[in-house]
Amino acid sequence: MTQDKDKNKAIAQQLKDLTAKKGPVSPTLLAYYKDSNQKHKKVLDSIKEKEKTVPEISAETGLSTDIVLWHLTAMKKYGQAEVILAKSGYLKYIAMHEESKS
Amino acid sequence: MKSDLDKQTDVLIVGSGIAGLQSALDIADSGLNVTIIERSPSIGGKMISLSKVFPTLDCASCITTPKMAAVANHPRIKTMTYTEVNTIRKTADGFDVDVTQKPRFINEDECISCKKCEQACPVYVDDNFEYGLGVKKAISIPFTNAVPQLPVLEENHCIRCGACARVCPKDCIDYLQEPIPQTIKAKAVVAATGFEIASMGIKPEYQGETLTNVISSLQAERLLAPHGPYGKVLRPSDGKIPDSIAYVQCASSRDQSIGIPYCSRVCCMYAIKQAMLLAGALPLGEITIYYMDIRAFGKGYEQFYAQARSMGINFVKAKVAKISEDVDRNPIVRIDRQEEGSIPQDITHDLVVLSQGILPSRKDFFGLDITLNEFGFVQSNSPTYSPAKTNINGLFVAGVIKGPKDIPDTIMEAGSAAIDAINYIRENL
Repeated sequence: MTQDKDKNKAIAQQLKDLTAKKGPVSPTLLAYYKDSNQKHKKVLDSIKEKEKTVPEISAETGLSTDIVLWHLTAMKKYGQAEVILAKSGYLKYIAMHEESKS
Repeated sequence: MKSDLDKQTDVLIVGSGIAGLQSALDIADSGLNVTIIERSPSIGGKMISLSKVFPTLDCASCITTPKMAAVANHPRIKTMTYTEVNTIRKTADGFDVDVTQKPRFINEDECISCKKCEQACPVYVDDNFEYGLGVKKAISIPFTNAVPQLPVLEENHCIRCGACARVCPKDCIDYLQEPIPQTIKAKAVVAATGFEIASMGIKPEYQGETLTNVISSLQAERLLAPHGPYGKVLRPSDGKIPDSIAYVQCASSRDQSIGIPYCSRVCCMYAIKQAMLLAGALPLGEITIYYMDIRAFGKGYEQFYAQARSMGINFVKAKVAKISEDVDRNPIVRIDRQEEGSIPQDITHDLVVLSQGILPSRKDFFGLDITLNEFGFVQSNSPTYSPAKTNINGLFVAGVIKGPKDIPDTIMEAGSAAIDAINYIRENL
């Protein structure tokens, strides 16, 4: 516990020193991060209960199909979603539940 | 970060694509010490990102990965990844090479490649290894079989949340790292800096930079690779499995108007290879190659071309005038068939691949007064007897730095550069 506290303190100090050296994080980057995470959550929520194709998710979330695919690619890579294969047309994606991830 | 790197070496190799790797192994096996400078975070160059090679359809990664591992574990080879060569100066006893090791923002000696930092990072960004098709985190190991298996924190994408540092079991994250400049003394240098493909926007009429379903040949390689971004061939606009794919040959070669009048030599064969792989991946797909003429010059290439024809790939002798798209973002290719009495025709596809030309990756050549040919590639000083020799004594070149060529020729020339460098050191120093 004390070790964790010390580690967190050291990280906070490093980040503080970094800000002192290079200035704060750019507002553009923070805005990108916020927007990207909102979209990511929207896409993930959309496939929590039922498998869907990119156009279906796009219609539901209002996000463009290329943005939806981008987030699904990230989810697949980092174990948040799995793909149901198809031979033609569109693949379907579904969120991975905690138990299936492990 | 290591700061006590050796400052002297027998041969310094710039670039670690297949040419750099082969030269390094040949030179080191002869008993000389080698230092490789690679600007990317991993060795392997472009070849490690390819799907398969022509005409054998061997897995590119299966050829490159053992060489990467051999280089990484060779007792006489030192690799400096994520390091830029700034200048190379000729001196009385060899070369002084000024390099800058870029910060990964991790302690390389302590990192155990557990990827916990990558999992914890909340920032998703475009993956440059996937040529923009894939996604990675702001801190990530560049790709599955990267050597070394060390992550890079991209400073310009880091929101400084501290998540990576908190989960790191070895406390490796160092947000305050700085670039480390240093000078390495080498007796000889082998430059194997490879190539770039021409910009997607070089021909505005093809709209390569604006149409999502018009992709580059290297992006197509990633779509076909086993560990590609989507795990299957999908088009980037909406994830549809494409039914109809077109290749536009000479998309930026053999065209005086864009400053690339030469033939890039490999585009015909890589397009045929990709078309064959697509035919396997998409049995229902229709694949068309629009070409001016097919240049199948190497051993087994003509048979490879004939095999593609027999597989049902459509070869259409036509010039592509422009590419536009319909409301569903399907690319529309306007072609002019190379036959008498033909009229321009618009053909709709699901995905279009531009077979782009090859350009030298360096224009400045690190401040060296090296002789270039009319197209900007390095001119050999002795093309017939010692093709790796340049006008600068002790500086040798290998691979596409000298001009477009395929992988077998690149490997052969890398061996030639290695022999020239070994002989130079033995005879002169």
